[in-house]
Parts: sequence; structure tokens; C-alpha cells
Amino acid sequence: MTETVLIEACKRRESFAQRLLYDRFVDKMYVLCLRYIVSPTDAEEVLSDGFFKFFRNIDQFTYIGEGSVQAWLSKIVVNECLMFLRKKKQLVLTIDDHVTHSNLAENDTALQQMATKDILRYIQEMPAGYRTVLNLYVFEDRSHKEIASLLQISESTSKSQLFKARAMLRQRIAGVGYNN
Amino acid sequence: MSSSFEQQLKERLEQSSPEDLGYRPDREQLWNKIATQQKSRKIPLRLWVSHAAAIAAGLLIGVFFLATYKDREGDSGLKPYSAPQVTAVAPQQEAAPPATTGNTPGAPTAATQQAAVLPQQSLPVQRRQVASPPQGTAVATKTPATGPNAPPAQDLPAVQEKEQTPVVAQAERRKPKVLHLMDIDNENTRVMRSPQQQNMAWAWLVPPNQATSAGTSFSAQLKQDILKFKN
Repeated sequence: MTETVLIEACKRRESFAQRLLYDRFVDKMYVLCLRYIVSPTDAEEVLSDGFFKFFRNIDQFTYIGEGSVQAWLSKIVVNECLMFLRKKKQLVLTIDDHVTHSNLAENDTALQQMATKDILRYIQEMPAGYRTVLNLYVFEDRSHKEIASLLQISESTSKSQLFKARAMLRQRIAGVGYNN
Repeated sequence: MSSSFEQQLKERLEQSSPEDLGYRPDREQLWNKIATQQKSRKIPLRLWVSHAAAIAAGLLIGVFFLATYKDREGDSGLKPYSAPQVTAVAPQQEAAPPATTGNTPGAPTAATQQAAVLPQQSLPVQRRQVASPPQGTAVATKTPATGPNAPPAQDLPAVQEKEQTPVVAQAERRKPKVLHLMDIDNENTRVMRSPQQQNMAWAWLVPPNQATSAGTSFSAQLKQDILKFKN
């Protein structure tokens, strides 16, 4: 069943189509939630809220091509993650001066050899501010201007947070010691 | 900062499943939760209806109480006080100069007595004598003025006859206070500081030839006068 047919059926509130759409995107959305939220229980709660809002507002969605459904669903889930972090007051931007810079080339090689779950673990271990800016810039392809308006910070703060997040991640991947 | 590092990072994570990352979510339970949330969407509508019903009931009760309160206000004491048995008309409460005829100096006339009996007083004696005077009799009318407009002489005996009946002023325009003679005594003892002040305060009530003596209170004299007329 194509996405167009599924979307039209979901607009008619057909539970079978909704279930198919859910099964198609639940894994990707769950990993997305885990990048923002450390706790799996909280991630599942945010994921269910995201899907609920997706089905509730499906009438406002217009299918424009391949990947538009995932993009729209990702946007909804990311907003839910940010709302959750704000509600829990975890979205605190930290200023860490203990980050040391490492060699770029070595990090690329190390990244390829590293397990994906370790990469995710390093991302989750970062401070919430670093992690959020990194996710929005790298994974959601948002600009610093958009990140600044989403998180209600300045563009320069967004840039500095991203710089420090990258550096911290590289240090962890490269195995260089990092002091909090 | 190279983009290849970030690109690799993105590709590695987006292509991974939760199981690759060490997580095993309960997809069925998550779907049941979503389905339950969708079904519970109908409840807010019922909540709106119940809230609207509660507001409507409150408004009805408020309107009901407001209406009954207005009715009660209409029935109770906002009406001007009207002495029971209002009879004779004493249009001129202000000091009526004594009548030119039949007026013995020193003796209070009906006009003065009536002026003394103000709406503020409701004397039991006067209440008993409330019989409405026959129409046309000039009971405590304006003091007959001398001149071309002076009433004919035959009206004067009627006036004199009615002098003995104290007339209760009709209190339509203002709310008279119920003030007994004893209260007047008490008031006068407080109010009276000097005979001059007393005279000034009651000048409009007491004619010049009725100035009270220094030793007696005005209310006492008034009492005497009333009793005199009664007898």
C-alpha cells in the first residue's frame, strides 16, 4: 500500500491504515526519541504522544512526495521531545571549558569502527544542551537561526554549543580523556 | 569541522533499528496506548457539555435570586413612610402667622399647634383624632391674609372650631421619624445649650410670643399646650 493511499485512509480515521503507518515509522521515530531523551520509558511516552498528534492532525497534511510523511512525522516528534525537555527543565545550555580538540582524521576512522549503540551512548551522555543542538543541526538539518528560535537562544550560543558538542563527541570517539 | 564525520554519524544512526542500539520497545503496547488516546478524544466533548450545563444552571439560579430580590425590595420599606390615617392636609408646615381674628395673644393657634405637630411626631392623641375632616373645611389652611383675597369671615368660625382638633400633618413627601415626647425631652436636653440657641433652632416653630422660659424645656411646654387643647 503506498503512502498516498495510507494517508487518505488515515484521514478517514481507518484504524487499519493507521496501524500500517505506525508500523512503518515506529522504529525510526523511536531512535529519534532516544537521541533526545535518555530514558527509554520517557522516549516511549513521547513517541506515543507524537503519533497521537500525527493522527489527530493528519487532515492538515498534504502529501507532496516520497519522504514527506516521514519528514512531517519527524517534525512532530522532535517538537514533542523539545517540549518534554522543557517541561522536565532538562534543556539547560552548559558552558564547558574542559573540551580539548583532537585530530579530525583519527576521529573519522574511529567512527567507522565504532558500534552504533556506543555512538548513541556517547550522544546521550553529553549535556542536554549540547545534545539538542547537535541533533537539530546534524540530524534534523536545521540552521543556527532556526535552532536559536526553537530553543530561544542566540545564534552565537547555538554555534558555540554545536562546536563544543562536536568536540566532546570526537574526544569520546577517539578515546581521549574528557573532564566534566 | 568536516561534514563527513557528521554525515557518517547521521547515516549510522538513521539506518539502525532499536534492537541494534540495544533497545527492545513493546510496539504493541505503544500502539494500544495510541489507540486509547484516540478513543478518549470523545470525552472532552462530554466535558464541554457538562460544563455548559453547569454554567447555564448557575445563570438560571442567579437570575432567579435577582428577580426575587427585586420583588422583595419592591414590597419592603422603600416606600415612603405614610402615617396611617392620613387625613387633614396641612400644606404649610412653616410658621403660619397667627390668624388675624380669633387669635388671642399668647394662646397657641391651630396653625401653630399644627405646625408644632410635625411629621416627625406621631402623637397617639392625634392619631385618635384622625377623623377626616369634612371636605371643604379649611383646617390649618394658609393663614387668612388680609386683603382682597382674604377669605370671607364666615370661614373663620370653622377654623376656630377646628382649632381644638389637632391635625395630623400628612406626611407624603418625607419620611417622618417616630419620635416620642420622652425622646424629644432627651433631645432637647442635649441640644439646648442656651435659650438663645434654642430659640434660634426652633425659631421657625415657636412664634415670637411663645419664647420659653429659661427654666422650662420646650418639649415640656409643648406637652402642656397639647394637653390644654386636648382638654
